[in-house]
Amino acid sequence: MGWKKQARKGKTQSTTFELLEKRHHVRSYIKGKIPPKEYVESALWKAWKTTPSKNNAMAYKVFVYGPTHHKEKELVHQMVHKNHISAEQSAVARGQQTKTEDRKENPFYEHIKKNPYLLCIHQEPREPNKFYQEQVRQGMFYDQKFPDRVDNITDSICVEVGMFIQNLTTYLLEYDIDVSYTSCFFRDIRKWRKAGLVHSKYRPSVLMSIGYKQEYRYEILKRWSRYEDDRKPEYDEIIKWQ
Amino acid sequence: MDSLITLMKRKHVTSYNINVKIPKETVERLLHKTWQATSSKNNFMPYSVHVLGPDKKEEKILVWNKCVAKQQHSEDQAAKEGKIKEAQTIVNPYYNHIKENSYLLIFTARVCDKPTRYVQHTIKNGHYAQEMFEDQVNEIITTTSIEVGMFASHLTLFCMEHDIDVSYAVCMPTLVKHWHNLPFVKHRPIMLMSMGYGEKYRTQNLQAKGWKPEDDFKPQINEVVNWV
Repeated sequence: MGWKKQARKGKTQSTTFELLEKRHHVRSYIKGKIPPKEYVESALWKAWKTTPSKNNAMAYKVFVYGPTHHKEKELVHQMVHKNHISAEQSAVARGQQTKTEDRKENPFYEHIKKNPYLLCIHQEPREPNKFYQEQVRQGMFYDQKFPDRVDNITDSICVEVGMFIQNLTTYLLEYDIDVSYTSCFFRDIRKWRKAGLVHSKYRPSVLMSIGYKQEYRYEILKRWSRYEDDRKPEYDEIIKWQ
Repeated sequence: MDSLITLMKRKHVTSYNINVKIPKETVERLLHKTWQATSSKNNFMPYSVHVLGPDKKEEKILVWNKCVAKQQHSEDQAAKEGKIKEAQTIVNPYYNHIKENSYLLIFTARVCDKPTRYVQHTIKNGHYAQEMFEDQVNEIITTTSIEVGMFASHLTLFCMEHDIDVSYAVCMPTLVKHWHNLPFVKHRPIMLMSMGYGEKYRTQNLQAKGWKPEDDFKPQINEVVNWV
């Protein structure tokens, strides 16, 4: 389908900023209310179409677990929870924390196991296209091709993955569909495969869930009278004019 | 507003028309909206966005030099490892946007010394906030890079709405010691992003050299998205 036809499938918003301001971290999704697959497919197509990539490589792969994949989502959630415990224990061992949360499950990870769709995005080596094959012949180093370079280029691939999930988020918000992210999980792919998650051979980059929200994290913080205590850094702490 | 139509406008810039000025207030407004709209794990935003305005010509050349050096080093190294026959001797013309632009943004990692009051409360209960420790910058660099990508995507969307072009680069040295002549870079650089009004685009350049759009395609969607 052409991109102009795809564009007509989205909902028109008053302003982009108002649209983006609608996104919040989801504590829980409505059970049994599944966003139509065609909306998710359309948003994925738009994100694929509009997300730029160095050398047009898109050296990552998006694995989509749909509504029936309860077991895999449970396994991914375990990877997240175990990583959380491991990170806290290591911090105590290094003297950067005095105690752990005693293996308590973080409720804000629950979106990983209970959702209509879970996206696991992993790195993926890529062959160069026709134009870059010629550049390689002339001496260009196309590092996205080599499996042994996956760890070396992980931060630049993650920048691209960040762009992809942000664009995907924007398109899903146009359908009033909620999303949440997690980046707390083991990066070692051997741990994933050992746990039975064999969809990829390469390092994971980010997790993203999709659904209709039952409750947002900020609503819970409001209930706890903690909302005002959870503000991002001020603008001038992040943006530095030189 | 339809985001697909807006984002379809973006193309990699080979040269900007730097004679057409973008007021600083416009850039400030776009950055402010982006800061407000972009989410971050535990509200840390563990990165800084250093903005070099139109007057920072020398600094931009220094950044460009670093990218060129990095490219040469990568190719020399790849030749040594037998991954390519020999390094090319030309400078990548698509880095040009780094030295000639209206604004250049340098994203670097940031150690966060002010957790939110809510995070302070969770730390007391045993939560470990890696973002607060200098020695964890490299440990969390992939998470920080994801967030930088999200920030850059929002900014791109807002820029496109104002017909301001942007381009990116991630080929630069990531060790801080290589940035000693730009002392504001105190932590690992993650990404460069230029802004301005585009005069020539990479696609035009390729066409002029006889390349067809289909020669420079990205992987097909079914190679990138896999419904399990």
